[in-house]
Amino acid sequence: MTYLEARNRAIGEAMASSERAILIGGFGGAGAPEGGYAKAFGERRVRSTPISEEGYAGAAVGAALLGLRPIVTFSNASFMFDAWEPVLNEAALLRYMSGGQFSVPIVFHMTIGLKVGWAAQHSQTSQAMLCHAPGLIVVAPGTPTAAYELMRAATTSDDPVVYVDSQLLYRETGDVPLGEAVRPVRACVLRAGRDVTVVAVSSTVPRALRAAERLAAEGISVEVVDPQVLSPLDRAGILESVARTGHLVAVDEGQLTCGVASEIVSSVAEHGYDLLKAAPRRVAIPDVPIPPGPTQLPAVAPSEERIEAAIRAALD
Amino acid sequence: MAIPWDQLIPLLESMLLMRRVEEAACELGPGEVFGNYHVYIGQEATGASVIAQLRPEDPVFSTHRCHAHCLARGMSIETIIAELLLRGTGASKGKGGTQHIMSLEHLMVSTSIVGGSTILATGAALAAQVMEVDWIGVAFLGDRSLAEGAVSEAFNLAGLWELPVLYVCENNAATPYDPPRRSNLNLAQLTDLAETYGITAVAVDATDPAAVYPVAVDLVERVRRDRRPAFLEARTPSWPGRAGGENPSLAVTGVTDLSLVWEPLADDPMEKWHRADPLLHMIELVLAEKAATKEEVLEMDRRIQEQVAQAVAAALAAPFPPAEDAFAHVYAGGDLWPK
Repeated sequence: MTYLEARNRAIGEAMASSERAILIGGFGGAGAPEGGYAKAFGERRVRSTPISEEGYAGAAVGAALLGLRPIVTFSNASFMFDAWEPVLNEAALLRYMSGGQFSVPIVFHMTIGLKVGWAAQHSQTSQAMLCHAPGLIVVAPGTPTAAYELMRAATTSDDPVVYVDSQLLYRETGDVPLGEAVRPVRACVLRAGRDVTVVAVSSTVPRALRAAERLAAEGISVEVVDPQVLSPLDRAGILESVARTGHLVAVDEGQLTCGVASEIVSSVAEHGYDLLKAAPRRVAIPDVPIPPGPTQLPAVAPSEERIEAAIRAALD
Repeated sequence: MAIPWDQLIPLLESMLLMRRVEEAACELGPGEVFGNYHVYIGQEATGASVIAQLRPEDPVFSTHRCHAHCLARGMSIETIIAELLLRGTGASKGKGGTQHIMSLEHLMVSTSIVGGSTILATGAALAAQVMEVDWIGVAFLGDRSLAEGAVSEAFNLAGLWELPVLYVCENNAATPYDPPRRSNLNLAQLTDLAETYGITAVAVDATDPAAVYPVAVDLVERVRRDRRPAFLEARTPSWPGRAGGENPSLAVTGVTDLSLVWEPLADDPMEKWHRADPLLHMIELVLAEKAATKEEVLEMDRRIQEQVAQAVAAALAAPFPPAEDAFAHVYAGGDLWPK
């Protein structure tokens, strides 16, 4: 099953399991119901929207306060900036500011993934910014199984969840265990290793796995961990892995400064300093906007080559 | 009669309670009410008239100026005043403060982000439509919020999707029937914006309870029956106590003297305000309709002032919530996500 099929399967299950689940905005592609979600579940519960991110996201928050479970898509993460108000000021805060009275059970879906030609305004990677909003859960699947399980967890959560979805993963395939009970979401070891822990986020997961495979031929044993949830971060799970390997590389397809990779490195430095045998490394987007061109984009992307180089540097 | 006879006393009581609580907030002042606070003095006829038409299941979304809406909704005076004072006994457990008084039991949400109430109420109306239930969403908003993109987006969605939502725009800077202040909005009339999106819009002089009450009845009924949005512009003048300074104060007007209704001052320096004051108009109406005597009105006032004084004393005596409560209510809890 592909990543996209797995994600869409979970959305379909959420829609089928409760009349209170609604879709705001267009989901589609492999794994969506024949003829689309609107045909399968009706236009009452599946809304196509005007280009009005703040309006429809805000309306979805209002609906969630009254007991619906909206799944809202902004498609491109860049467009979610227009909805910062309802996401950050309303959804993230209303439980807290009401003294725990109100819940906002909602999923905000946004796609990331660097592609040639899209340019900076269609290439924002805002996962770290969203981690600065306590009250939001931020998840970022890196495998087809995670795409399925994290969407299922998000659609059953009583907290607002941002689902960071890399379009670069849509065709990744894997065996997805369907239909099991929703499990607690924690950092997940995707490949066991002894020498170095690579914590890889979203689209960097397959790259980290390929780098690990190549380095295995040289006798370097790489453990690949997918944190799955970026906020609240499963620090204990990451520290457990670093305790086994003594080395850390954190990888994210997001900006370097104050980014997800930075938070992972800081957490391990603060809480697991004695576990580290050498300085940890980060692989992220350098602090420049995303260029569109085919020669420039690869220079900023957290590529397999850069991950491999960082692993070597961490072990040097 | 614009207001049913049996509604005169409840409406007066609701408006008088709003007035005395807001005056108490001003008297407590910035030393006790932390943060900027905003009072509802002069706007009472609107909130009292609209909220009196609602059912318990109609969610209400208010703004930074939320105290009075919460009172009309039936929330207790004690929890409202305690929230102003950031006590743990407050409606939002001291986590919201003056601009964010909330109650799940009363379906009362307050947001201080200008325009925020409109998109949330629009969503509540969407929930009603999806669940096929007959509640309506109600948003209170200020006149200046109409410059926010969120408000236009809410109007567009409500019109497109035919959502049962009532937008109550309180224009508290109007000399009735003046055009909007041009520093903020390039509209000839506030109602123009709603009408552009196909929303039924009515403007009313909200200094006169007999004018605003029947419009509130009509619009709430229409939204509930027709399952379509409506917009009310309630025009009130700016209360002089709001002028100047960060926080409102009674320095200019003093507390409201109800006897002005039957003993107007010969040379009243506040005459313009007193002629606009919807509370004094309401008392005039009650007396004219013989729903109560002067003495009964004054007795009602004494009782309300006593309740407010008790609520203030209780709130002042209540402790602030413990520091560790800062870490509560961030998430729903449970084991689904890491801690």
